[in-house]
Amino acid sequence: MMSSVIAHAQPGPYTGTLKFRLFYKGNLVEQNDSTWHISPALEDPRFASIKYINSYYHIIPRKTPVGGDVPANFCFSIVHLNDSMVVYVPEFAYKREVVLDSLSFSRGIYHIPDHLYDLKGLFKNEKHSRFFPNIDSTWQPFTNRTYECYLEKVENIDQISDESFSSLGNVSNFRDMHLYRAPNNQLYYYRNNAILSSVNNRQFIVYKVCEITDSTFWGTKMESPFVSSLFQKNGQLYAIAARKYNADGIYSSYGIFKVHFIKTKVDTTLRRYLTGKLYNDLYQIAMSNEYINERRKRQVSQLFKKLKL
Amino acid sequence: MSRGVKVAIGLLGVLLVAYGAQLLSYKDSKGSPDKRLSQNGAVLPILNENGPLLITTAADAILLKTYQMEILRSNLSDDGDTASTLTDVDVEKQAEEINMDVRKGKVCYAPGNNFKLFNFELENCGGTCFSSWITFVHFKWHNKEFVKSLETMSVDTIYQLPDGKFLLLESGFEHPIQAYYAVRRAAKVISFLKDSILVHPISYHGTNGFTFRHDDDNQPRINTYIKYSPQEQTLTYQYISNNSYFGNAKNIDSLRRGTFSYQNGHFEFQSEKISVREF
Repeated sequence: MMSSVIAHAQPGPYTGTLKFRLFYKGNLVEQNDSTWHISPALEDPRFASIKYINSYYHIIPRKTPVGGDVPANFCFSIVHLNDSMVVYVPEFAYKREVVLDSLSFSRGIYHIPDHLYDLKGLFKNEKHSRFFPNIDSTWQPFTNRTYECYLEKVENIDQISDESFSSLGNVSNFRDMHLYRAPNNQLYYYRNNAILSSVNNRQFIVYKVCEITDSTFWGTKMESPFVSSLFQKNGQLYAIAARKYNADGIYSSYGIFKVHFIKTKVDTTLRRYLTGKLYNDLYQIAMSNEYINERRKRQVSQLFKKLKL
Repeated sequence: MSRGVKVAIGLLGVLLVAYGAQLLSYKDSKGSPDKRLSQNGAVLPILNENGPLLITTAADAILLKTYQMEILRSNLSDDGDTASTLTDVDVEKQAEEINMDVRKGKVCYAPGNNFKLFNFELENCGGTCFSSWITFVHFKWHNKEFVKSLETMSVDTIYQLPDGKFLLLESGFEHPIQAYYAVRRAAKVISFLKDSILVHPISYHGTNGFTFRHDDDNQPRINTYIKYSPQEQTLTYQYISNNSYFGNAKNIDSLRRGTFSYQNGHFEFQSEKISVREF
């Protein structure tokens, strides 16, 4: 009796799954077509199995007690004759089933961002509403970094309030997003690190809220910011948000930020300006963070002095 | 229907009517003075140290009880799935079994009834007891009411600052090492922007939040405090810092007394006097 209780208390291995349907020139690619080769980018191919069930390819990583055995930036490649397509997919290692219903084969490298995948169900009951980019539409925007908005801190905040007892689960419809109607009637839906800006009442462009650079000036990764609220002042959109950075641990720094929307490519002057502002802010917040040890602070200080801002 | 059931239904009806009336009064109360305010504008905290939740108004009583159950429910299960289906009786029973209790629930009204907050201490006891605090703030922005949670300890007093922001003075206990409990105090400046509560930094010794632990285990004991003077617009504090509890440091009390002054919308650190006594 006792042994059975203990056995059930052990953490079991688990994994999420990636599912996709592959199309070529509008036709579904069947498994028995030997001209197609699908291979996950893993050190050892035995770390994942590929199955074809009901017109979907399934990539199932090896199970471990801490989720599927796949790297965070997992991708897989599809080779057909002389062409190849590489797809970086949203995270799926932890009990999540990521489904790409309409993967249309096209040569190139594509990155499907998490924030867009999370919006899949946004307008499922709103037949006339659309957003772009969309994983069920053309994948051309996923070849480059497009539709991003960068944050410029204008005021430091020590802490911000949180939702009360509400969860941040999946987006199953547009009511799971926060809505801000600006004085000029521009609509913004927002959540986590995604802002949908209205083109008209039915059409939206999805912007990923991110930092101007992917890493801190001391070499660690910048994490995705978290937007808590939006407001407009003198025609300019501002966000109350958390900036997240890594310094031997992930820390949040809160503030009011000016939001810069970029559709295609950010120009050099703005990039330099925003990078300077970001590095200055990172220096200030790292030095006043009591949880960062003195050795790391000295390193941050030395590197900051060498920066040419 | 038995007499007891009728009385219970009647009482519930009275509570609901009072709740509705209080909601209306909260809606229309902007700017009206509140009986709970002391003469210098501070709120007298409504606090019951060890007993059950103190009932202030019928509406607050209902909300206090609702929050208490939700806090217990959300802490009983990591994923919340199991606990969400439990009845209140089962939640209380399960919480008691694992020595979890929501203590010192209270409601504080800000000066001018600009907002009210529900403040709870959640105690978890195993070999030793640990406390955490949960605060829900009810406020309005353009006639729409919002409820947000805010990270605080026990809120003792709320002041309104000259520029319309609010100052929260907080206290609590912490248990940094085995068999050692210490008082912690903090001051927080908050303001409201749309649907958010912003906590503004108070810079103190290189950090953005003004908080300290009072390491007072030696005799004679010295009181710790954070006080705000609305007349002088200053924040004064006193506490003892002693690191001998955390290793091989000498048993030295550093008594720190200092002042902040409210200027240009934030508290500026003015001075700190440190005196030392060795044991």
